[in-house]
Amino acid sequence: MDDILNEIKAMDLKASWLGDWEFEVLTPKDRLASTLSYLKLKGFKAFMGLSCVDWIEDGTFELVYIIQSYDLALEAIVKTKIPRQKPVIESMRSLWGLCEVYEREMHEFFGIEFVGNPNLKPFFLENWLDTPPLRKDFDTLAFSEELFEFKEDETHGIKPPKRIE
Amino acid sequence: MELNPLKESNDEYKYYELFIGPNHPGIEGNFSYVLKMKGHSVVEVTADPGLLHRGFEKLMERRLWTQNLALIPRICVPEPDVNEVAYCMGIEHMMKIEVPKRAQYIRVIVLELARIASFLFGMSGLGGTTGHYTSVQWLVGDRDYILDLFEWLTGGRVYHIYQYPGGVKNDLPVGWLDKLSEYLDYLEKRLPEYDKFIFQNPIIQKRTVGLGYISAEDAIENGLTGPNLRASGVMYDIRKAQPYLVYNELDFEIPKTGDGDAFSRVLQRRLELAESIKILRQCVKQIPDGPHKTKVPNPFQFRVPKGSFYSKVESSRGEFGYYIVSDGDVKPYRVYVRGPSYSIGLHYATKALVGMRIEDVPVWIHTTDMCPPDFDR
Repeated sequence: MDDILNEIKAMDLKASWLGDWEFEVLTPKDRLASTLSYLKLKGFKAFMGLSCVDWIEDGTFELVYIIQSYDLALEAIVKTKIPRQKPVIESMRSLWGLCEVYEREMHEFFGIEFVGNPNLKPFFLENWLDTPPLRKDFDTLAFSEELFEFKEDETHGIKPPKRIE
Repeated sequence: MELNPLKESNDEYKYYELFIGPNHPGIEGNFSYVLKMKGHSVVEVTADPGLLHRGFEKLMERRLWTQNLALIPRICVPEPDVNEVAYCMGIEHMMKIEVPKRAQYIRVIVLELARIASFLFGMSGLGGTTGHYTSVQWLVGDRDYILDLFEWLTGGRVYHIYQYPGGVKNDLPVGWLDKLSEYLDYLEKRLPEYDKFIFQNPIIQKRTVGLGYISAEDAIENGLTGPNLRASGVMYDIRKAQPYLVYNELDFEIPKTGDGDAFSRVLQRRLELAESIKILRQCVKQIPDGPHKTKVPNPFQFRVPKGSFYSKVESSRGEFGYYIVSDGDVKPYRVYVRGPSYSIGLHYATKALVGMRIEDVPVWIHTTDMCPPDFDR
């Protein structure tokens, strides 16, 4: 099972085991498509999910592609970083048609543009004009305080929500 | 006058729009498909999620690691335990906590019981969509005994909030395992009746055999997991391939149906139900004595080391995954939930339902056993 990891390392990419059945690959933005298509050729045919982590202090978004090989019983977690200002990345829908919906979700919740995805319409949210809600700078407490009224005399003893520090 | 029926006319009443859901017995949960119809046939499908969206991933970032345990069972309503176990397993891996053997066995018992409950609930949905209402009452009635067992064990019928990093909250009550064995005896007696009444029933067979065929390539390409994938002939089960908890100590098989149509998907679930009973029987026999939890830091000092991990559990619908990112704080930095119904409900259904007749749409939805709360999370 270490063979595949050594092959990835030979391509000048950082790779390491996360657990017994999964490893992570760190790839620069412009080599994402080639890394994913290489892994797909190696048997990682099933696309399991796309996620994003907002590293607000570094000013980057980390995109996380989770793909799986049924023959090797392994999970590959491919990570790439893009700048937080004007986040643009290539769409992977030519590799997996399934990516289209995942990218649509990430577009809605993080405001990331996926070049080549024609279907980046609103998905889960309705008439959303605020900051994309899963970004770290979106303040849920301020949002709910602005949207809902909390009056002392009408709350029947229920206090408005407080932040856990 | 043009008499060719195949020629497209510009009649604006030729196509119409039909909403399946959000409040419809043919859909599971508050979610809808907007179907563009031509006569009886579906021409275009648009998935319209959002009504159930509760923003769990954002809410988790604002709560302590252990507070989240009360929140996440809500992500999948019919089978809430997979969330708790996957989340706890992720945390334990990152904190390098060793879970006692007894706790692992208890987790397997809870997971398999939840799987049976979820299978029964899912199969009862099929009865609702085919007009076979007696099966709904039978199956939901038999599921109720499982909820009774859960109520005795955890205090909750639907949401259990029973798992905790490092083990489970309470040990098994005295006499609980005997009651469980009694229930398994009862369920085993019921299985031949189910077969005769539901699976060999001409109505169910006529509605499901040959409907919505999914090939193995399609299933892999579109990210299907669990019984839907196995019914298409790809024999992949996380419990076998990447064994977690104590599944490597238990003897069970992955039943093979492999036709890929709606009936084989239902049959796959029925056969896996029998395997779950087998697993539970072994657990009752093999469960060791010992502690049911290990000591972990108190909730306000509960810090998970920096890093990330993707932990996953085989649920009754497929792979349920939690991608957990920690920056070493008392709260998670980011948690991503991979629901097993996401790919089939939001992506594959929009392709597979095209060309289908209107009465087959709810049947197809129920045989894939999708659960909108886990993608509209």
